[in-house]
Amino acid sequence: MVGPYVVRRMLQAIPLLFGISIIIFLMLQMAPGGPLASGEAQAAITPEKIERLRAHYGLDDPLPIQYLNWLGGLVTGDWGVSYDTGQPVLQVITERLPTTLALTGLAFAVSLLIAIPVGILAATRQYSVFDYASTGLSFAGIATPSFWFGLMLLYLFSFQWDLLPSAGLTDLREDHVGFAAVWDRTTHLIMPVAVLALIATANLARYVRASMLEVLGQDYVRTARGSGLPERTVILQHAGKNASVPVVTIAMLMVPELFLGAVITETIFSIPGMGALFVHSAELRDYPVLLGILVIAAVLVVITNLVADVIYGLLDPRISYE
Amino acid sequence: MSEVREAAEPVAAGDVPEEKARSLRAETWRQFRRHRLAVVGLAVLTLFTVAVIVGPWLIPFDPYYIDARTANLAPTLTHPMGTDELGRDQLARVLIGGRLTLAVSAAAVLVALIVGVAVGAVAGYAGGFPDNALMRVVDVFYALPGLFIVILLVALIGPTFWTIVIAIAVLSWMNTARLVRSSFLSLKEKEFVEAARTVGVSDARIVLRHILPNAFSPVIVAATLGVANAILIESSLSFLGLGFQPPEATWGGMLSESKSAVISLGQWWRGLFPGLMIFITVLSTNFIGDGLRDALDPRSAGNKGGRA
Amino acid sequence: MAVALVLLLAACAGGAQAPSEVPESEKYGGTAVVAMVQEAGGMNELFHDQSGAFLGGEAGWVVEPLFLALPDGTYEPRLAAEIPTVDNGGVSRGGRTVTYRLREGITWSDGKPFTAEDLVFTFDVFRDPDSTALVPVDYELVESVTARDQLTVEVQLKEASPTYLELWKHVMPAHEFESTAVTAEHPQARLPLGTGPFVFTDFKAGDEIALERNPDYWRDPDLPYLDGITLKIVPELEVATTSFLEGQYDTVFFFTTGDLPQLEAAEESGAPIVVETQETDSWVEWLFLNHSASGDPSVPHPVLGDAAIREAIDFGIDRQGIIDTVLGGFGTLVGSPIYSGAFDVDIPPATYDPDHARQVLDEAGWEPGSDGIRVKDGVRASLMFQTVSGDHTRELYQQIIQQNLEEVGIEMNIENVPSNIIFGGYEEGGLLATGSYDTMMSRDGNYVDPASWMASFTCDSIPNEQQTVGETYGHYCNPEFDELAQQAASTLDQQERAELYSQMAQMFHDERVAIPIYSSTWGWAWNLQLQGVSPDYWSGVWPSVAEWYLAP
Repeated sequence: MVGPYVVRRMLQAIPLLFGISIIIFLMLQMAPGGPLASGEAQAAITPEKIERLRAHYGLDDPLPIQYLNWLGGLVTGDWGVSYDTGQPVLQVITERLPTTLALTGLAFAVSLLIAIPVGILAATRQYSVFDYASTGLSFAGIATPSFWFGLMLLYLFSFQWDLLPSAGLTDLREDHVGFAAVWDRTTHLIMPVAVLALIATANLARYVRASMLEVLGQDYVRTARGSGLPERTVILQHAGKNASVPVVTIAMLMVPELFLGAVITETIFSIPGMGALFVHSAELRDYPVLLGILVIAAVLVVITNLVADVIYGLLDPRISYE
Repeated sequence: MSEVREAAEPVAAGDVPEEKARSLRAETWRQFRRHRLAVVGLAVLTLFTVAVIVGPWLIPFDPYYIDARTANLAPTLTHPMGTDELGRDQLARVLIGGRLTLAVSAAAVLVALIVGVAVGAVAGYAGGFPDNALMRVVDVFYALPGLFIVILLVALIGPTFWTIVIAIAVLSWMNTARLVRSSFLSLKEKEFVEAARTVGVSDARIVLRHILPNAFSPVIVAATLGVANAILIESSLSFLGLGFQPPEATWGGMLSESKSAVISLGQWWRGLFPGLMIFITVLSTNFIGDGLRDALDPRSAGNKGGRA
Repeated sequence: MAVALVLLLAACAGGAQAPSEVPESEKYGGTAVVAMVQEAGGMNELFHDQSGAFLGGEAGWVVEPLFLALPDGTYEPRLAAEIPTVDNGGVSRGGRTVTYRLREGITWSDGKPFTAEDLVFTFDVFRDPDSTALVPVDYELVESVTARDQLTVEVQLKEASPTYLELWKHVMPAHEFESTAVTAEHPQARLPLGTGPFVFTDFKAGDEIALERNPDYWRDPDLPYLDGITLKIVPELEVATTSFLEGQYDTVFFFTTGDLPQLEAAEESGAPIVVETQETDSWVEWLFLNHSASGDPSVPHPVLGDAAIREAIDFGIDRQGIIDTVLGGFGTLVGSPIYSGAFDVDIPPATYDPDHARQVLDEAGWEPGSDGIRVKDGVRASLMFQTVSGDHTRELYQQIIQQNLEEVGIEMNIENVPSNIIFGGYEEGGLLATGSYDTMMSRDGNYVDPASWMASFTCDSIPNEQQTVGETYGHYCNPEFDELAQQAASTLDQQERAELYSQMAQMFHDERVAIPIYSSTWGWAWNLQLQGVSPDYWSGVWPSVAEWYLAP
């Protein structure tokens, strides 16, 4: 039953992605100023060079032709060439994608590992000190601008106390091996992951708490409790399963947000991922790379939505895939 | 979605005689007041709003006047928030910057609201093909990578008030559109709408006078939370160097300006105060949003979390 | 899951570090780590115009030029065996034939010999319309290039030009290419092969660029001392600077004038760094004024077309105040458009005198309006004030200028925009090219030879619909100025050129074609453990790289 549903949803996603591709393509082409003249004038960008480049990159073609060329390339795996580095866009992106996916994945894992126990505990001990404290912290987390948080961490942990490295993913001075390499990686990742995970964790904790509270008030949980089942079993098996439906949905929808949020994190901590690439390419008007990144991000959004829907159905038997 | 429809239900139950509407408003306010944090949030936000509007006239410093003699001062009684590298009083800057911050966020939410309500109303009331087409557009905008698009729009066009407002609004009208549409779908079948139609009231009038006022409560909650979101997005833009033109600055812009002063020179006051203002404003707005949600949808009182 | 991801990342990191070999001698060696604030798309200056590419090119780390400029504007040979002159027969009597002789025994870092063919090939690449290499204006003058033998190249110029020593700052290895239609996609456009002391080994975009020593460097088998260099890309300058002060990087490419106060303060308070500044003028921050209305040089600008306004701006800006308040005292004042190189003209800058500025405006009939901004014949003295957006230091002194000029009655509205909108071509609506601006702030003017710099103030440089090519600053058109520029660019008599440039500089200053604001002080800082660093007049500490080593 799930199979055909997934296929149908995927087919529905095609016109969606088509629409997105038109919007992002038009947005870039309508922007004022051409893509080929960034940088200070003293750096010798002669008008001849711009003319040669325009011809070379096919920017003199009519807009619809440019769009069709790009779309055709997108489907056949030729995503164009970066105006900045001269490398194929797919290569530029695939060099960076694993870093950002790993960062996103780590932040997601950290959010889940913190938010779920905290949310459950807060709900089962409603109005306790723990509940108030965790709810307060969640609100605070949501209201903190992430770059501010990042700069404060950097200021304290790197520059004041010299505990954690300030930039990049590895130590450039020494070549670590074995466990030392893992430790080196970990110390480089602590702050970026903390910054990225902050808002997601705060939001998720509030959701988990709210869902648990709603479920705990339901009749069947009261019945289970009344029948003398241990509290642990009641909370984890009966309440937990039902509360997890909205939580999983929300959690899945947070993945793209984390992925996009990496823009700020990667900029602060000089991490060579997609976010940093995006900011750099936006500064340089590197249209082919920007288009590639936007396509990847849009696909990610569509996929996570799809996954959220499917999981929602699997967990909640009341939904039928018709 | 079901939650939303229920939220609209109690208000939409009848033909909304004046009296009843008034009592409903009173009831909502009574509910809202029970949410203590929401009341505090409302008080703080009101205070900030009044402060940024009136404040610049009350304090004896010009937020734009450059004076090298007073540069880089730590907080004192004269300058409670210190001064910046051009000798401008930070309190004056925070107040005038707050004006811009709040104005941008409010404008962005307003634009998003107008677009969202218009799209939602047309889709919900017309139904059929227009509804389908508009909802596909909504789907497309939902799937756009939001933050990337905002950054790109501002980076490409250049940072002006309206670029920033539009960029934020473009990515935040869809929620309103969906809420309004679903309210319309249920409301247009109600007796009072049918009645109006049989008497020959025009479609526009039905939408504006009879349906829209009743569809508004979920939208207000969404809009409140939208303000918090807009403030955070604007501050991220400023951080990436896409903020307002000097000498104007938002709180986010002031934070971004303070980067090197804080990190290299240890001038903590440069980063602390604008950051605190953002933090407190966003926090208050979220509390208000929560309070409103509980008040407008009593069933969920105290239980719902919300995405900022 | 979290642990697994960390492990995965650790595994990915395998090849990330430069190999840590044992230094050849006890004193020399090691791998220096240099933070790079502005990443370049590629390290070949012929294809990439961002500042980072400078290290691969002009700085001579990997690729070397035929001639090196000296502080007084003369040259010394590097890859060439001698400076071609009329006296040694390198330049023909009429100046249209120049013979370049190459030094013997130079090899590319892959061991292949460096020959005259490489020079011919490089010129052919520039000439090939299918190549996307940058086209330095100097090559426009070249008619043909012929290899006479392995080490001799003969160049025919279209007309005699004094700028023939500006050719071949960058030579391409012919044996690496199959055709002259070289585009930015070619691997050599990203990491060029050169004759220099270092060789590029790896470039991870947004992350790091690795260089290793060239074991057979032609100048001296002991050079370079370092085993390698890692360029670490750190886009946030504040983070790069602070990490540098903490000792994480040996130096930073590059610091600007605005960073110097902090660096000096750190040095004084005992940070393990050396800070050195150059007292002479380098790039000048200009306030370029648009002299024409909407890009048409026959119609003067409604506000800036009035010499009184230009004079008031010149006297109304507190330049020393900018240097003291924003730049921590680093920066010098310059009054002449030609202030460095072989034809340096000394003109004192206008002194800050707001009363004089106000008086000039009063006399010219600009009356203060109710808001203090002056008005004449219904025209308000209100100007757009633009520069590249996102530059914090610049924004600070923009605001000082804004306040200064407001005090004399001229309104400056800051509207900074992204660089491509400013520098875009005529057809793309670039603000400079189409003349769609009032005042624009940009750095320029530090040239060994001022010919091309002065050319951007001639009538010919102004693009229009028929002739869309042209690089102009100010839409300034004065036939008298053009005449002098033309003469100076076509004579080989340096004495005569000096005289002509002196006249042009004076005219430029008197007409206030553009307003100089300040000349940035050049400065560098490096970690104490990095030894052998010495600044060069034109290119900073970077060309001394072969002598760098890390103290044990």
